[in-house]
Amino acid sequence: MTALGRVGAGVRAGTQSFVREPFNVVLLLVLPALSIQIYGVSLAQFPAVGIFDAAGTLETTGRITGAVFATGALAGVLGLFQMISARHADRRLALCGFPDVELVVSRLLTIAVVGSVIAGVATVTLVAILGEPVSAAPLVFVGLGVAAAAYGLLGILVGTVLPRELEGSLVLVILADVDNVFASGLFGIDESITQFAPLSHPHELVTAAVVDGQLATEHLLPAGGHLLVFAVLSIAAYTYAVGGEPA
Amino acid sequence: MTADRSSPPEHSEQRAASDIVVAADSIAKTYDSRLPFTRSVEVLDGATLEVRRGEVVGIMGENGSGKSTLMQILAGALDADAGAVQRAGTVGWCPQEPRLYDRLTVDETFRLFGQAYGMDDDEVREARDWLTDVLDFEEFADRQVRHLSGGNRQKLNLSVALMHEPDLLLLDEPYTGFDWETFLAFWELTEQLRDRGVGVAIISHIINERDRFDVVYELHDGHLHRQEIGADDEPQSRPTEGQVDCERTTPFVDDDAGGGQRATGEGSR
Amino acid sequence: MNGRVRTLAAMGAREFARTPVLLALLVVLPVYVIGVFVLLVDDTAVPLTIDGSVVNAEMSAFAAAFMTPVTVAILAGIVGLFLMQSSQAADDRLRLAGYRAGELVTARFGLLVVGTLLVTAASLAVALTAVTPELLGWFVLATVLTGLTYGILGVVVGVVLDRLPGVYVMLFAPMVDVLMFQNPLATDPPTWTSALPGHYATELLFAATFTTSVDGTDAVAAGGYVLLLLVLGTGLLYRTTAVE
Repeated sequence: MTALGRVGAGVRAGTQSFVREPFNVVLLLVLPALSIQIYGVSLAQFPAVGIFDAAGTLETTGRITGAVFATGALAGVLGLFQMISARHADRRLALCGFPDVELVVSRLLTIAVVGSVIAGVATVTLVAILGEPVSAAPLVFVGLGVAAAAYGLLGILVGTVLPRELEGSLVLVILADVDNVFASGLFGIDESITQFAPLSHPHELVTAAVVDGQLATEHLLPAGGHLLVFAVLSIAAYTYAVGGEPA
Repeated sequence: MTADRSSPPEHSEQRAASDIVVAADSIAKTYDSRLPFTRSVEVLDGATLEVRRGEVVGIMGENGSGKSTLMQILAGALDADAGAVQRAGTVGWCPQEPRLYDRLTVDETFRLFGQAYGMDDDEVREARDWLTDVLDFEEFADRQVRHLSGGNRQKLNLSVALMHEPDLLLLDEPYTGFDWETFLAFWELTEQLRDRGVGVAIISHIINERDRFDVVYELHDGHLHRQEIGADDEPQSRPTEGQVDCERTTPFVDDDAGGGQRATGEGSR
Repeated sequence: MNGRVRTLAAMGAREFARTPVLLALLVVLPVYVIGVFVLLVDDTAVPLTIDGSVVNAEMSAFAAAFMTPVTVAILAGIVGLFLMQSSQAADDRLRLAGYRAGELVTARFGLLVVGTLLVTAASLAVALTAVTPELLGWFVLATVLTGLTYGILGVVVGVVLDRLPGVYVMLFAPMVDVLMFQNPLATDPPTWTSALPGHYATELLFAATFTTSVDGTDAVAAGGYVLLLLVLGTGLLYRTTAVE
């Protein structure tokens, strides 16, 4: 089998593992809608002035926050459970001759494929629930795609350090919670600090796409920086966990 | 072997009913799927068996034929959809998956289950010393269950079933992971238990072990087929139903009956 | 408490103590969640709506008070879930061996109380560095009641749901309830939010932190919620551990 064939087989296997777990499918279909709706209702309770730094109405900001959170959390779960369930099988694959590099590429591509599906579902759900025309839906998808990629990689990282369902999920969801509160502008924390929160740039990208119909180019570079850091860390962690040697 | 294999098989009605330590009558069990568009699986369909004092009974069958389900129903860990189980005396159950607390040590596991069985500290200590000696895992007394090897975990699993010297032992593949010495020690122990009048039911995959059993039940298509070892060479072609040696009208292997279908028109109880 | 329950509770405590990663998280996460907000929020005054009146509070004090029930609810829920999920199969075997359902339920809930007090203590240790509640005793009581509410809910969810769905319900539910719908910064909360499990305990907590009197009905209602869940949880546990 060629390298391309092996990577294709790896991605197919990873994607099927995700889809064949009914809980993942339920989470994929339900969490975005639930999260978008709940955040929308939640932020609408607050006074429109004061502590929030919101570009649109509070309800719209809430829904964007919900979409970003759901996308990040779902992708994080994907990365986490890939590591928990597949690390031993991947190590065996490596021993059977599957090159380390191709294994890493397969895992990252799986994150990319399933992450795109997650971002796609969240985009469609957000546009449908917002109820107002969104002129730049593809840009919403880009913003949510960045959130999915960041948390998919973080999920791999957490899954390597803490390969346990309960503890890994706990850390991941708390990270996403705190990150999301930073990104949403709740508590009015200074931007010089919140810019380090992984979800803050995807949040800005999605907000600009929804409110102005534009690509927030100034957030692309820092978002890319986050992705690069998480990619390096998660690849290092993965190769350590699976191969024991750098790919 | 202590059982007299040369004597002709007794008919159940000639033997005292008080000898029976567990009797299962027409057990049925189906696992319903919780998801839409997926199949329910019928596992047991009128399975009937009995185990007597001092009898070592083997339960055999293909992978996935429902042996462990039957064992859980016999132990009382799982409810049957239909049928009845009657037990006499105390029961020791050794499930296929150990079902122990991963983070307790071997010693703590003996103490906790000893409390459950109503044993006092001395009795627990005696049982622990006896079983860890016979099964050769004394040196792991302070090790947590999750850190035991598969074989040693299985020794503890078996010991928990045995420690209160029950009247009935239900063992689901009890020697998985045992080394040869422990395997032999296990059978020696089983012989001692048979001598003491304990009824033992063992799920086994090892076909060469047939000679070690007094009776073997084959589980096939949800029915049990009884064979008395040393008396005949083949399992009875008719499944046990209602009583363990009742007559049935459909042969054991009957493609027409379909997987899991009842061979006669009798309804489940 | 008889000897059998004592042994079971002691063994449960040992099991819990032998999960160092989880224990470390139960202590470290409050420091992270509460500490990070206390450190990073602006030093401004914010208007809080408590029992219908508006009270001004420092943002850092508000963050400390608010993130305490959020953290305790999430972590106590995880403790409740862990107690159920780590032991269910073995509990069946223990029941078959002779333990009575009542003994198992007593031991498990005893351990839940200990676990809840642990996460409450860790959270209070961080929160009290940034906020001085007007009524400390009520503040502590409200935090414990929030923890117990979600701890028992964790047990209930652990009984009803499979492992993974249970984990995610217990991670999201307290966040939605306490973080999103019990925030005193809100001026216009929907009425149905008062039916959520964390409502009365958090009302009590904010009143105890930022005012000089508490509404007794909040305390009674929060306690009632705990009792109600305890009855439900006990019933479910009895049913789950029912063997022949």
